[in-house]
Amino acid sequence: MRIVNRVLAVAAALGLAAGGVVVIIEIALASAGRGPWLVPHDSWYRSARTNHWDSSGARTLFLALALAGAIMVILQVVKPRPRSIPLEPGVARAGVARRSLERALARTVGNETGVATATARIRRRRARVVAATVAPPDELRPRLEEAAHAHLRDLGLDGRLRVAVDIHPRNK
Amino acid sequence: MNRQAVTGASTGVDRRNRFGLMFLGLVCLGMGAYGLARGWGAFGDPAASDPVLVESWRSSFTRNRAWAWPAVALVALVLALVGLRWLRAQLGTAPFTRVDLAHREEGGLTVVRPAGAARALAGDIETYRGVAGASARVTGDPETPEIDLRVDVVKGCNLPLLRNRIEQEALPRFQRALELDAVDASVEFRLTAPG
Repeated sequence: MRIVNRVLAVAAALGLAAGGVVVIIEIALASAGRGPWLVPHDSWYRSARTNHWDSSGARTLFLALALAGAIMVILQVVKPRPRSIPLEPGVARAGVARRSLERALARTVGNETGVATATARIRRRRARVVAATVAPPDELRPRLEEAAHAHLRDLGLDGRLRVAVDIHPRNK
Repeated sequence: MNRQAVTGASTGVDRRNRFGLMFLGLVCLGMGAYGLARGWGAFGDPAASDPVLVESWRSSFTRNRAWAWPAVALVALVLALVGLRWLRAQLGTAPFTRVDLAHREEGGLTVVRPAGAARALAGDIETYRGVAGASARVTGDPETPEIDLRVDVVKGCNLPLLRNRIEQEALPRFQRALELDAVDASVEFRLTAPG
């Protein structure tokens, strides 16, 4: 999400900067009696006077504008997963890199007897571990939950993240 | 912790990007929604069949053309400057290259390069138990420097103990080396896979 935003921000900033400069140049040229340079504003002007609000061309343009705006707003409203999971406040701000924590948590649970594979996904306040098991889920669940809790406890993250373990019997 | 996560110097830029894109998105959404609503007759059929460049807007602009075009050019200039500033923010803050300690000594010149001090700090931390690797970057300005640390730790490393050692030993040593009153530090621990 952060990278998408960076790309969008660079595009928007470039658009604003270049667009602003082009508009100033076009106005200066027009005031000197010269024709359009980069922007065919004379044909845009004619088109804006002949096309109506309910014409298909105008509707398509407004639909595209509304869609682009809606996508941009949705992208900003959806909160990205944090890059780091913060540790207790201290002298320095400290945190554990989320991706490395996901991999470590998956390894910890995956190393338990009866677990074939495990993956972990961490959000702001919760960790979800999905384990494919070859043993009965009811027997495994408390052990896997304890393993995940112990791992977080060792890192000083127990209590900062709620842990949920989903167990799926592996198809033989 | 006053930031949502330990993300170092990029956090401010990311926050500004979110604000800027949200504002731009709302403007586009508002304009698009207004155009669609008007085209679909939400403001009456006569409004829907008006030209996109409404006659009253056009005549009003023509009447005031003496100042209207300069005003448009001024708005375009402001937008161009905002765009340039926004673009520049994406490049991040350049790390400062030296701290001059000359004012604290008589008859001599002592210059400390923060990059060197940061390398020394990272090297110091790499000697700590449970650390597989470390890197450090100094950002901000000489008056209020920020140190951004990345520390790779091995499985079984006692993270609270390591953090305590960094905060109580490594960072104060770095602070003393640069003769700083305070240093704003962030540490990101990365858990490495067993080799």
